[in-house]
Amino acid sequence: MTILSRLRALTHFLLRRSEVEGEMEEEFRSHLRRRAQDLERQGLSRAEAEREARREFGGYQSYKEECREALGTRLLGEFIADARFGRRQLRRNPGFTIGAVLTLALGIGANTAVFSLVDEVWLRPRPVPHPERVVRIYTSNPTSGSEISSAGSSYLDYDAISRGGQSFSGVACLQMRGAMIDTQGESKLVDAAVVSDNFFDVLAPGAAAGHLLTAAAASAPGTLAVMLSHPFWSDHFNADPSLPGKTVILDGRHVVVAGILPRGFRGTEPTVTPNIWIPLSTWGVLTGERPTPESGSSNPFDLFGRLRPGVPLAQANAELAVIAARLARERPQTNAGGKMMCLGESQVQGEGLRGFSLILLAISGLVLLLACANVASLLIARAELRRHEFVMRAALGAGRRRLLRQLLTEAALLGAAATAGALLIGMWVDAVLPKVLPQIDLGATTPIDAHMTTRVLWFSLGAGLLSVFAFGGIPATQGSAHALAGALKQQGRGVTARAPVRSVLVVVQVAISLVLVVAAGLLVRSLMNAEAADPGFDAHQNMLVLDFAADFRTDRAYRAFVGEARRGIESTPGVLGTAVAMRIPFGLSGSGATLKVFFAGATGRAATDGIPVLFDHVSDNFFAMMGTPILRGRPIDAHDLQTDAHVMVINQTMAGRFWPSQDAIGQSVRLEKPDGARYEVVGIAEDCKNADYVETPVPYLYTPMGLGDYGELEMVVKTAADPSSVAGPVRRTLLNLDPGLTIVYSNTLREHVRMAIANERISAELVAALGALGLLLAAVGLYGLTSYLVGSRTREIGIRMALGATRSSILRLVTFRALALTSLGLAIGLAGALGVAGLLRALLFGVAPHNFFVFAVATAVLALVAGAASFVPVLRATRVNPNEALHYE
Amino acid sequence: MDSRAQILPGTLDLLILKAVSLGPLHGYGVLLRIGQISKGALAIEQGALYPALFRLVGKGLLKATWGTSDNNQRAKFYELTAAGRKRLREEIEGWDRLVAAIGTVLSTQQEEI
Repeated sequence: MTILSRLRALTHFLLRRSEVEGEMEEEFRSHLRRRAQDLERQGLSRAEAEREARREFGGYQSYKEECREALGTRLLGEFIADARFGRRQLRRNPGFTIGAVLTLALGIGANTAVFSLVDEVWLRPRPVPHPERVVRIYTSNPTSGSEISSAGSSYLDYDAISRGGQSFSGVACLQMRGAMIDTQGESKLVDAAVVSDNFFDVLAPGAAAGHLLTAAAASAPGTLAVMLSHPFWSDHFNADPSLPGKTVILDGRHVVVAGILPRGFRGTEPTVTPNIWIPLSTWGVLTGERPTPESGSSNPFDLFGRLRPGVPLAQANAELAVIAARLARERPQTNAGGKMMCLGESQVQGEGLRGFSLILLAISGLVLLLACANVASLLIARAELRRHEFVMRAALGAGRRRLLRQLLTEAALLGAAATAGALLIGMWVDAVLPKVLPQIDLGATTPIDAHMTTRVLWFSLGAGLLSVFAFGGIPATQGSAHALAGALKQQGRGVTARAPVRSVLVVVQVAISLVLVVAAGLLVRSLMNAEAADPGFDAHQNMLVLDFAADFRTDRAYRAFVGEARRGIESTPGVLGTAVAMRIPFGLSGSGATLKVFFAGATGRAATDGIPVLFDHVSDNFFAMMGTPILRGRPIDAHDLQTDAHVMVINQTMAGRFWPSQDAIGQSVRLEKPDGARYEVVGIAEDCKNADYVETPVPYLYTPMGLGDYGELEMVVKTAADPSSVAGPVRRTLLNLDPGLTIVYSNTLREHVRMAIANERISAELVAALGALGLLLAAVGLYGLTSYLVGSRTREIGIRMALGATRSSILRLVTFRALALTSLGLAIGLAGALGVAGLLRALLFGVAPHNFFVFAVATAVLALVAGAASFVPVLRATRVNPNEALHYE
Repeated sequence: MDSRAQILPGTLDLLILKAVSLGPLHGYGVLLRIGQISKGALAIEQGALYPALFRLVGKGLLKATWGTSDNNQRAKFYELTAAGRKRLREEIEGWDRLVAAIGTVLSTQQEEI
């Protein structure tokens, strides 16, 4: 049959199915009628004739089916019939159906949720035209000792590339800053991306509302205009479509909102969306900062370039090398030995999260596999129960393929229901995730904005379809094969007593669960280590961490205000003391800033350029409040602050590295400060963790807060009891002193520190959740199999008991198999876990990937769960009553 | 034992085409015509005729139209298409060759080898 005529027949059948069926029926009936008439004429009675005609005709229904097939429409017709029949079957067994759908929905849902996260972080390209042409440009500055790709670039670098780079149709820069915005009557410090005026011309993301700020508009004299991010606009302006064109108050000035950027448009980091985008021209008016190639800046820029059409990355890189070499010649003091290179955005986006995302995806894939194994096992068990039905159908002429299709259709129905459920679960997780992920109380930082996209939808459908074949394939081939075997052998009891396929499934389940539990165990252990690690200060004490912004005309007034505020707060009941510092460990600004140190013993570049060292300005009482031990010498005291003493406290690592063979106390170094004065080391403090628990100790120095250092500070308030109880009084004290003050951040120290190990926590919690899910699924699988095995051997057990077998021998008989399968699964799982653990290495803190303890506990847990799962059915086996068992059937 | 020969696989189509080549027939008519031309020597389950008819229609060798039979009953009539006529000629030639070949084989004497 040609494709065309087949198609025609098919459409004919589809459109006029009942008509075709009716005609077939009519044709068959008229045949029988004519035959009966002929037979009657030969002398048979009417009833005999009709019976004989039917006999001669043969299998009425099966010939009809063959005719349908000849019409090329059988497949579809059967599918519809199968689907109807399958739906009835599934409805008849609601327990089975709900169990199977729920199991699968959890499995697919876990994958949907994880994938939507991965999609957001890794796969989704920047929503700009030709995202493949957008590149990130990296420069290295060897004087700062930084590697290429990690540090930002200077304005000089930016200027040189945008002037000289012929490979790019445009080069733009961005730096993350903070800005105060007034929304609905309250001031908020928000993440701001300060961008070059041409930023939106280069990236051209389009505008969700209003219009895009062009370079021409942004740099027009007198213009104060910004763009807002989509999430910020939705959260704080209720997605007001009339906002573009109006003004908002930014750093105390009226600034026009030109437009809203599209959803999903991010800055440099995949996990952080700036709230507001400020062109350099506007930023210059607001803050007076106007970077020039000569100005040099402590704040580095991230550079973006858009390649001209047809220009390969290699060509752009060759050109950048030339520019870098020229700058190195012309500006040796800043750019000697400097390098430049660019990378496609797909190569750099979400580097840190990418590995983790893949691991999560692999783990959730394992969970889905477990779910499939369980449902497959259930389906096999059900196929056993339905053997009678299949034998009947096979006897009535249904082919093996026909039965196979019936079973696959039912699997597809289950899969469809489960996928729908999975999408609901996925959407729920996406809605909950941002709330579960640690939120930084900074007002409006947008966390990962995972949400359903078409790609996520396709992924879920794909996962659903794959799982249909995974869980439906095995039982279907089994079931249909059994049907034929059964048709020949009547009741083939011996065929399945050992349930080989289900046994394999159980082994696989135990193995996969062990891998999951080991992974979860390692991450939980790592989290516990991180929480127990000594950060060099007392992270568990009752303490409030505050960040506030006030506006004072002079440094002197600011210092006076801070002094008054501290005295006021210290007189509050329940407050034990206060201290201020430029930064408190585990703050929002990462590791903090560096200061160049020139010390007498230095040689070479260290002598000419200095050595950058992380630093902090601290008030008196700082070390006592934080609980950082001073190992030798003395802490910084109030007298140091009053006299602007040129003293400093350094950490152990700095002492050991700068003065390995001498006493550091009493040594003095020149610091890169305006006064160029020498600072004397008066104390050595224990090493503190700065940005996270995992970091290795680096040199660190503390100087007394100078007069000009009060503009940027954080305050700690030590309390006798729950620190949140004094948060209100502290706030009132501050606002009484200065009604215009904004409290930017207020948190307990415990919470503050907890956020620092957010990554460890999230990974441990996610994987632990997936591991628990896996364990549950494996337990259900093992329980099901053991129950089935015991059930199918009831008769045998009865005979054995009648012949004098003891309970314990029966116990051995039925336990042996469960035990053997579990052991085999554990052995395979251990091998797998050893491999998987290696992949987790990067995520682990203070625990080796092959940690014996974790492996031992995981194996024990799994063995225990397996034992418990098979215990109930085994117990049932020992209670078999020989009399009943033998009378059964 | 039944003296009627079981139908050779693949020959049913040939028989149907031959029967219909003598004039349009409904399904039962095809059966009678086959019985008639084979002098009752061939036995098939009567229902097996219909899938074969449907297949031949699908292949475009037969054409089916609804009409009225001699005794004024509605019936579906089958007739040869041009392609069907051509196929029948080819099949007959092929059959003749086969029969001749088999006949030669069966009549071969010991000494001729």
